[in-house]
Amino acid sequence: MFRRVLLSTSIAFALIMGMTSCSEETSPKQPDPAAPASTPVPIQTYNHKKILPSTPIAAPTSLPVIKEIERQRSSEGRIVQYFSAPSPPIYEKLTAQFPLTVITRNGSEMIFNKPPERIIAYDAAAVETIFAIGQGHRIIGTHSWVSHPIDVEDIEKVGDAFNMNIERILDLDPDLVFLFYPTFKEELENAGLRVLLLESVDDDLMGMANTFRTWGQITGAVNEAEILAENFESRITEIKLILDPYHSGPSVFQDVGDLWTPGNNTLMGSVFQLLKLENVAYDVDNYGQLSPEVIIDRNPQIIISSTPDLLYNNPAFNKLLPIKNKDIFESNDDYLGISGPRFILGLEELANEFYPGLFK
Amino acid sequence: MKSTANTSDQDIESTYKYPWNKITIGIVSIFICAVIGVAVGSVYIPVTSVFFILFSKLNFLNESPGLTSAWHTIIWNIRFPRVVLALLVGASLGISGATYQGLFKNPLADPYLIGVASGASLGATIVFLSGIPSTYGYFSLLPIAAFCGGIAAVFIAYLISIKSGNTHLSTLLLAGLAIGAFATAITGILMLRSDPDLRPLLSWLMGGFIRAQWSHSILIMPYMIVGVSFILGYSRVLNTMQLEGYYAESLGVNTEKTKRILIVSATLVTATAVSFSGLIGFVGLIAPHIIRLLWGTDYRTLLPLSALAGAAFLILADLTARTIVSPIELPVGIITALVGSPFFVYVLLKTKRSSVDGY
Repeated sequence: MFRRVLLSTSIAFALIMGMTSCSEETSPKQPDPAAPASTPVPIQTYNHKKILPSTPIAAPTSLPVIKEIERQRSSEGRIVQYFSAPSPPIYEKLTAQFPLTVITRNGSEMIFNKPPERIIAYDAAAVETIFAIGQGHRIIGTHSWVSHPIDVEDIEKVGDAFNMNIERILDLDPDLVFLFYPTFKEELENAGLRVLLLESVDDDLMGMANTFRTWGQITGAVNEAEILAENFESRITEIKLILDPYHSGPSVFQDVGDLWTPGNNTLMGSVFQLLKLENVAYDVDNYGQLSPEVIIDRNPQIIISSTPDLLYNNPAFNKLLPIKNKDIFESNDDYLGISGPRFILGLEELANEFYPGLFK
Repeated sequence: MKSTANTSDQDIESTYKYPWNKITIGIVSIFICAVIGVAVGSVYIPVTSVFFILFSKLNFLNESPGLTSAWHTIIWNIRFPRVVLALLVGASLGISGATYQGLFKNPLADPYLIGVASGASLGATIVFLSGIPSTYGYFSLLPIAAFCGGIAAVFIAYLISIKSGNTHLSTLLLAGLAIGAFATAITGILMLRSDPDLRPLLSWLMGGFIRAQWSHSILIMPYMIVGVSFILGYSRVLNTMQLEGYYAESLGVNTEKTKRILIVSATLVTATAVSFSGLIGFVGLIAPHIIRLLWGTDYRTLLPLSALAGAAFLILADLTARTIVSPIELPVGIITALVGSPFFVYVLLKTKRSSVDGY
């Protein structure tokens, strides 16, 4: 019996050695076959950094000044201001109005008679927004993955994405709990707390500014919120105006891990649309794991990934230009992953990266 | 027990003929499945071009008329390695499933039962979350960690069953379940206490071949060949072991030593397969049962045919997973369960023979 085992093992080893040597010979050294005229897929031969959209550049106009974002810590220690200048005079002074009616995600109304003083904000974007309009002192609790601004270090963490310490929340006695996912809504409401879910932004970039305004109304900081929202909107409009004369930009593939990619109806999809990048996942709804052969077939000129090594190391992809040129763009998930005030920074980063020189 | 008694009679009379005709059928059908698997995908490539590319890669042809290099990459670097990896993993899961079922005399035993899968997941999770850069050039640390985790889980279960002074197989089975549950719990704790971006890990745990490369198949082959050779070499003993222990011993079989060799071999094969494909359920359970229901319970026939059935099944399941909602892919485990279970029930109902006979 042992002889049989040995025999079959050695035969199999001989086979595998044959296969290995065969594949070593054939796979890397094969020269590219010349592509004749009737090729269905044209091969791109230029670096994306040098390409601009197809229409010529419009006559240069004076660009709006992008305000410097700056963080200041006031004497109270908690308040964060995003803008160095005092509120510009072009805006009318707004006044907070109470009682205030806020439309929640399921369409019902929630009435505020005064700004909530003890908020549990269970969402990174909400925390950033509230700090950005200078109302961070109202937040008494959040979850453990919120890390911006630095002041959240002092705020108690009452759970993470999977678990929530409802007893601790009750103990903190909040007058508002803000959630992004409705997972623990019922439990919290049954415990007698006021729970708010706002309508989710989905793929609406401008809708993000309205969320800032809503937070301004709720916390009474309407002017600060208006400045934040106006700034956000004007910077998006500016990008839109500059890109307006152009037809279409390069094609793009974003890998958020294991070839999962944002398609239509996603915030990133809208970002690509704004930047006139052609998403190779144009026929994917929401997020999906794109088939590798489809990626090769659609031949993206730009690849965005936060884990580029996995793509560099896969020999199947080494003929794609961004990979051949070691030119995968490493995105900053902190900016584009959170639909808060810093989202615009990530957006401008992408714009500057892919259209160098077009934005000043 | 009736049928096994028959087979052992056959052993003594040595009238057993190796089922070459069935094996040939199996190999031919795998070949057909593989050709379909390479020819079909979410990007349409004409069948003639597929063959041109394959033949030119194998040096039979030097010219490849009218083909783009994108098609070359798709056929040679994506589909072909993927089909080969699915074949190897399917064969591994099929044959180790049959081995575990025979070894534990338990119809529900499958490669994941004695803690292999949970141990492998734990190993992969530790490496993934430790922040060690898990890729070095061609080669990823994740499968190696999974492999070590799987082997460690089985080894601990085995030590426990020895320590308990009762090397009965049910002790090993229970110890494996306990270790598996423990490893799953640790994995859960680690995942809860970690950074938010778990997507790559979760999609590895779900199983699939989206990352398949030639190097994966080449890396798992040696382990597979050693493990499968041992299992096939001991297939006759596995028949004898279906008898009560003392009876087997009276026939001159050293049951303890054989058990150990078979457990190590089957675990080696499973852990290697799992390390590159992630956790794909159901193949190891149904492939041997279908063969058993169709062609009887002699392990000399059952083991090789289970491997072939597992391979063919997984190639087709992966084909379905990557084309059914193209351009998106589904986890292959969804397909194996979705297609596998109704087919299994069909075979169960159609075959009047009682399935409980054959362990």
